Amino acid sequence: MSSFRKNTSGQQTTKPPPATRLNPHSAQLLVSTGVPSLDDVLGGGLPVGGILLIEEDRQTDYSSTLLSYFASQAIAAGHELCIVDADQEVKLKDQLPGWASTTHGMQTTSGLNDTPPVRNTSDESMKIAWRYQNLPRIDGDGDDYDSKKTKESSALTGVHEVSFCERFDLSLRISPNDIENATIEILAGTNLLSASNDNHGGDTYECVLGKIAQLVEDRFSSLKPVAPGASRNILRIEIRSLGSGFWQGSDGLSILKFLHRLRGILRYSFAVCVVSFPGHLYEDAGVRMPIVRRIEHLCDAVIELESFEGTYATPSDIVARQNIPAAAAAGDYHGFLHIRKLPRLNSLTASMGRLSLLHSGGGSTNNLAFRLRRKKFSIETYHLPIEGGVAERRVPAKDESKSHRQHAGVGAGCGSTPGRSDPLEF
Amino acid sequence: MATYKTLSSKLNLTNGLPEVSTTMIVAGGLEADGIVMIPHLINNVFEKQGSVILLSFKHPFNHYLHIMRKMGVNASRHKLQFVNGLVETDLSSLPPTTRPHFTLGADWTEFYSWLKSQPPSLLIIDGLCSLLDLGHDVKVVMSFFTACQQIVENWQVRSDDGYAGLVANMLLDEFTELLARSLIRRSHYFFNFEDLESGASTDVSGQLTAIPGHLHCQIQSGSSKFKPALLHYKVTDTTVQFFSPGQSSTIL
Repeated sequence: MSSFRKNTSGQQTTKPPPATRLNPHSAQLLVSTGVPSLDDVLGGGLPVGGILLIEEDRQTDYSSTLLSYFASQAIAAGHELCIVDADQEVKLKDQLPGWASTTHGMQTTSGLNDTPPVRNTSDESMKIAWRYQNLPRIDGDGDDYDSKKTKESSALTGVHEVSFCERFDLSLRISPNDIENATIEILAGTNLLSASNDNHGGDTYECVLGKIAQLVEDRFSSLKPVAPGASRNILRIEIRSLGSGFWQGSDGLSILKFLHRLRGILRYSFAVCVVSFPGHLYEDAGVRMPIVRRIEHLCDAVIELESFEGTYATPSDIVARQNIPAAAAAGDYHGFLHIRKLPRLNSLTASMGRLSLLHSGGGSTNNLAFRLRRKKFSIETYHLPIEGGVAERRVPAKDESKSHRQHAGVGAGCGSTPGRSDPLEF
Repeated sequence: MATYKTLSSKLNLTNGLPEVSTTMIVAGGLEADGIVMIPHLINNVFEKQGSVILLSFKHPFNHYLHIMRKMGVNASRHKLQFVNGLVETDLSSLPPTTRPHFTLGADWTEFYSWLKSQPPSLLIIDGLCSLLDLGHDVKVVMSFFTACQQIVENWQVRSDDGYAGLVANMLLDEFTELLARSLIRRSHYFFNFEDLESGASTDVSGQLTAIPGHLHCQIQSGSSKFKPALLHYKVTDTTVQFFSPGQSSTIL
């Protein structure tokens, strides 16, 4: 072993912001969206300095679930949060999900259980097929690399570190204490309206952009060196329903100017932005307006949620669909997830092809679906349901098959001794 | 090195570059971005000991440096000047390696003056259609483009070394169609990157259509041996492979 040691004492070592990870392919800092499967689709997470555009689903509100995950993840990770909503007031206590595990970044000392959740070993032996044994898991038990690493380092240092992605439970609501401890800036409803009227002549885009620029300039600019001993933090910006009827601009292109300038601000900052966009409001006779494509160009990543309910024109069609057995069997999924654009910061190619488990596991970018369960939202590879439904093909239970055999009478099996259990009987 | 030899040979371009003082329009789509041409052009100019001026409305300098480093192009050894068109804030606090050499402000005449003072270079404008996003009319964008084109044409390349030309990369959609048509009328070559017509594929990133522009006929007869072509391509981090349709190395 060489005795050579690199002298790094004179160099300033900057600690990365909490709950971030480095993309090895693009040297880009990533943060989690709060949904592990969405992080996977995006190639590991959302790049810092980037904009994720979520095109909203019509007649349903699944995109709000994604935004609530994003906000909850900000609070769990200790990041600062800025929420912009021109449509309505923001009620965080009613909208944000709580997290399932009790060990998270903001609550590191008070009455926490140090024992990590142990996975049931009996589940390990239950496998449907051997080929699935070595496939990595996207989410569920948090057994991914980062969770293990966090647990190991926590065990060594005795201090809980913030995990990259917290496990959220939609059946829980975030505690008021967590909201009070977090740094949250809200621009919504009447406050946003009055602020834009007072200072920007009613231009909502200018008002929001000015606020974001001020926030970044104060604490999150990458152009300013960090103070000695201080560490960087991440600003998460959540803009809900950008371009809806409540957004007022100087002209029809205000939204494009806004996104272009927002991108410029974010590129030189430690901030990340998620924007939801009601694309169905920008349609003319069922065809999307050209400005929608420009909006997609101006964002770094674009996904679209297409709910099954929203694909039907009238509410009566939705009711009619519920009565179709095949459609009800396919109801495990709630809609399709379309990937319009993947982040390519510092790279020509998107990281998804190399890092995504959904991609490498046989899926591709155009066959993804999402489902909203009682406790979590997840993105999965879409599979068509079995023709005729599952119920008719289901294998009967063991007791049921035994009683059926007894009713069938002697000689129904192929064994040597009728009526007795025989190892050769099948 | 980021030299796409197949592309150069298919298009019959000497040294992978079009004639001196010509204009090339590169258009792309949402998933098939024409930015893949930029490392190729920059590297070919560097091989001719020329210099490059890169004006970007889309990304910071760091983005391009990362891409070129992966492709084996060491920009620090050559003369590459970056003009920041993304933000108007002061970027002087950035490290010297990633600091822009000029920032495009609201007054474009300063940029024209600065550009005239530079030696003959390949001027690359990435994201020209962003000027439309900022609220400029197509006429204004065309006047900016024409002014840059005139400066490039006035540069005198005195020896075999060095190169002067203009490349404009933009995204083509319904919103920018009028601008694209106007630009093609003022260009010598048009490269259009788009998604595969047959659908998505893991082996093929998209297709490139290279055709002459309206001004191509003004190039002296005999000096241009350009061949229009339709090629498929596959983008990786380290290179971009161009091939004829159906001739992907993965398939063969």
